[in-house]
Formats: sequence, C-alpha cells, structure tokens
Amino acid sequence: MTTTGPTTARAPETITYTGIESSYEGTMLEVRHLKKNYGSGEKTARILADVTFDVKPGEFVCVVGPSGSGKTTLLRSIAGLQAPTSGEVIFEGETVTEPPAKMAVVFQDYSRSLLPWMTVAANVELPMRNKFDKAERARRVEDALISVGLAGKGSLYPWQMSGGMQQRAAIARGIGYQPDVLLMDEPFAAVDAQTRIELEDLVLRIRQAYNTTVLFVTHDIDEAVYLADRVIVLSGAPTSVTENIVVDLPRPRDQIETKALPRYAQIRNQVFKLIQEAKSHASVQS
Amino acid sequence: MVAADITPPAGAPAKARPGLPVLWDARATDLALGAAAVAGVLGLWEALSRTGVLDTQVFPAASTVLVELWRLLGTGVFWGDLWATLSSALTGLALVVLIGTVAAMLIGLIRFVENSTWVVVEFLKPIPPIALIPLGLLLWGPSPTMKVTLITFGALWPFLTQMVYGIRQTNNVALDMASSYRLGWWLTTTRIVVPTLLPYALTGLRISASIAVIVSVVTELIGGAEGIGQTIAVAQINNALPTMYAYILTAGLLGVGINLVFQALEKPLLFWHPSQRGDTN
Repeated sequence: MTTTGPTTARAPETITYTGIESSYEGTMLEVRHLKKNYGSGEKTARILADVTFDVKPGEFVCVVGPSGSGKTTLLRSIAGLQAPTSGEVIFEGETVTEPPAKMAVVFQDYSRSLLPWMTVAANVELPMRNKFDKAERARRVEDALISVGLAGKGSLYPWQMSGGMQQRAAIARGIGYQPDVLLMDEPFAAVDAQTRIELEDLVLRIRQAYNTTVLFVTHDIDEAVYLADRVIVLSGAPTSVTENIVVDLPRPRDQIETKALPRYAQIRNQVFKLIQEAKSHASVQS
Repeated sequence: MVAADITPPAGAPAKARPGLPVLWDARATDLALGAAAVAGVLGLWEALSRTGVLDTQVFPAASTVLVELWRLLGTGVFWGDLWATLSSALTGLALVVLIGTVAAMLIGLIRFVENSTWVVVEFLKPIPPIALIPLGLLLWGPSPTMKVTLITFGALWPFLTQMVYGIRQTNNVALDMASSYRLGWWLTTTRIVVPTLLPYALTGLRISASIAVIVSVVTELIGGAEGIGQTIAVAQINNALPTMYAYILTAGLLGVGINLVFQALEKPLLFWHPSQRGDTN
C-alpha cells in the first residue's frame, strides 16, 4: 500500500512518532504554491511552478527530483534566503520572510560553508554567539561534536580534516544551533560512498537524539528512501510535486536489513520510475 | 540526550598544524641563499672596482660605500632623512587603505558605481605619479602634503584592484551560512567578510608599499622635498658619490624591509590560506 496525493489525505497511522516531541505542535512547515522565476519577459526561467507540501513535527522528509528540478532553489526559499515569486512558506505558523531562528541549514559545499580561519569548535560555536553565554556555548559545542563523532577534534581546522569529517562538523554546527527543523541541501553529494553510508546513519541517530525535524534534499533515490518517513518527488522544471510517498519501513533503519526488505525495493522502484518519467517529460518540454 | 555511541570515522586523517621545523628549514635555506646572493653581488662590485673595470670616479668600491653607510648610521641627518621618506610612505599607505577600501566596496558592490568609474580608473592607473610632480609642486610646493598626495595617487591602484577582485570572489556559501544562522552584521563582517578579504588586501598592500617607497624617494629627488631622495640629489651635485650610493642602498634596504614586514604579517594572519598552510586534503 502506498499513500499518494496531498499530505492532508495521508493516513496518519502509517508513521509513528515514537519518542519524538517538538516545541511546536501542529504542522511544522507548510510550503504553499511556491513559485520562483528568474529574470523577466522573454528570458524568464521558470524554476518552481507550484510546489506545495507539509512537514509534520518530528518527521524526516526527503525531497528528490531530477537534476535541474530546482531543489536548491526550493530549499533556499524555505530557508528564507531568497524570496519566492509567489506563494509562501509557513514555519511554525509564521510566514517566512527572513531566515527563521529555529531553522538551521547544512549546505552541500562544506568546504566553503565552514570557515577555514576558525577551528572546528569555533565554527560550531559561531551561530550560538548571539544566543548563549560563553560557558553554555562551550558545553553545547562539546555536545554537538560528541554527537557527530568529532569528540576531541574541535581544535583542528577544517582543512586538516577529510571531507566526511568536515561535513560532520557542519552537521554539528546545525545541531548545536538547536533548530526545530534541520534543512539539508544534498549534504552528502561530495563525499565518497563509504563515508556517505556512515553519514546517513549518523543523521538518523542525531535526529533521534535531538528530536529534530529534518527536511533533506537529495538526488539520490536510495538515500531518500532509506532515510525518510516520507519522500516528496519533484517534477522537472518548472517544478511541482509529482508524488508524496509514505515510506512505511520499520525503524531503526539498517543499511543491510532495511535495504534487503522487499518493501524497500518496491518504494525505491516507484520513486525511480517517477523520476524517470519526470526526466523524459522535462526533456520533451525543453 | 546525545548519542555518545557514535564512533569517529575509521582512518580519517587527523593532521596536526603544519610542521614548523620544516618551514623553518625552508626559510633558513631561503635566507642563506639570499644572503649569499647579496654577498656575491657586493664581492663582484668590489672586484670590478679594484681591478679598474668600473671607474671609481663614477662607481666607488663597494667597501667605500659600505663604510660611508656605516658612518651615516651614526648621524642624525641620516635618520631624519630616512624618517621623512618612511613617514610619508606610511601616511600615503594609510590613506591608500582608507580610500581603497571604501572605493572597492562601492565599486565591487554597486553595479552603477562600477559602470560609471571603470573608464576613469583605467585612465588614471597608467599615469605615472612622477608626471604629476609639477602639478603637485604648483599646488603645495616641496612639502610633505605634495609627497603624500602623489604617493597616495601612485600606490592606490594595486590595493584597489586587489580589493575589488577580492570582493568579487566573495564566498556566497559562507554568506548564505551567515544569513541562515542569523549572525548579524557585526559577526558577518568581522568573522567572514574581513578574513575573506585579508589575503587580497595584504597582496595589494605589499605591491602598493613598494610603489609608495619609490614615489616617496622620487618626489624628493625631483620635487626637492626632504628625505632620502633629496639627499641623493644633493650628494650627486656635490660629487659626494659614496654618500649618494649609500643612500641609494638605503632606499633599496627600505624596500626589502617593508617586504619582510608584510611577509611576517602574512604568516600569522593567513595561516589558514592554501598559500600558507602547505598541506591540504
């Protein structure tokens, strides 16, 4: 059984939020008819046509789409980093017009989002500076580094670390900020397959430990299905939501056991077909 | 609350800060090579003078010049001249930093300013400051104001060009990060913008500093303002050749000194930069 269609029609019993509680009740994030064009007149690039979906508190939602489907544009709009052409993003009941305080972003390009002139600890601490006093920051930095497996590495500089460790540091920075929602923009696209698997499991554990809602953008179908409670499949540009697929696989997920389940293969194939269709549709259009 | 069971990645390299001994070795070698080259040139100069290949009436022996320089080091006039040249150069540089930073911000960040100024900038850049000495003398006479103005004019361009380039290369991912974590303008400026621009600023400043010294000496030499350049001209007129050459050497040493100061600044300020850190992943 696969529930599709609008999120509101989704059978709630397919997901169990065991142990997940958030400071916000109700819908965490609502994306409403989001539209984004670049340029104007004849040269208008229509990136997002009409994107609508919801994220519930504690949910792990993956957004997948073919390349060029405006995934990053969508995430930047949700994060309040750019204004949509029309439509709106509502986060904890308020329309997003600037980056919300309870939202953190983990960027794909860790080598540029981490500051090379600061130690890893200072990088993790930086967003906390306007929020907590020094002792509190030190404690939270320590916590965040332990939770991503970088205990004792805080005094290193990012460029003294492997790519995987740098992205762990970037995740620690996001987590240390104590967001209600963690937005992740293709965070593992630049690391090798082995590291990617480690980081996927790390994100699942962190989400469990910190009760964080996660919106995870990826082009990797396996990654999306493995991680998510729900996968949102995008069409090619101009983009809308093609499908909303509930991933009713048991948790905790396991790289071997979960991926060996027939249900995993079923969902994976469904997403794969949808993406293929979106691709061919996009290529016919352009 | 925290999953403490998460293990560190297997075999991830944990490189320590770049090994200082290695750098020191390289630096010592560089220093030794530099010193050897200087000694070689002085030796050749001495030999050519002694054997009569160089006319000592035009080109006194290296030893004569060095002895004269040593004598000058004990005189107040020498240090007064040195300070006159150096202080003008430094004042000019301070103005370059001030004007250059503001101008670079305007040019780099506002499209209209860039479009309306680039022709003027490209027109002014190749004008040698020496060509403006007559104008400067007319306006201010052989005064420190004239010197500092011409130094600022001549030394502005490398710094300005580097700064504009630096602003264009700004790391947008870091700025997005700053914005999404609501760092605010103070943290964004001090922790991201300034460190990002620092390598460009130091490179520009280093080139500008050499030009500042050159222009300072030349305005003294031609414009007659007080300083090393003026004394060179006076010594030449009075046929005090060892003094003249001693001062010329001093101008050269001043350039070397400024370069060394900037190199010394770069190491602690830019330890994180790929050009300085030596090892990368």
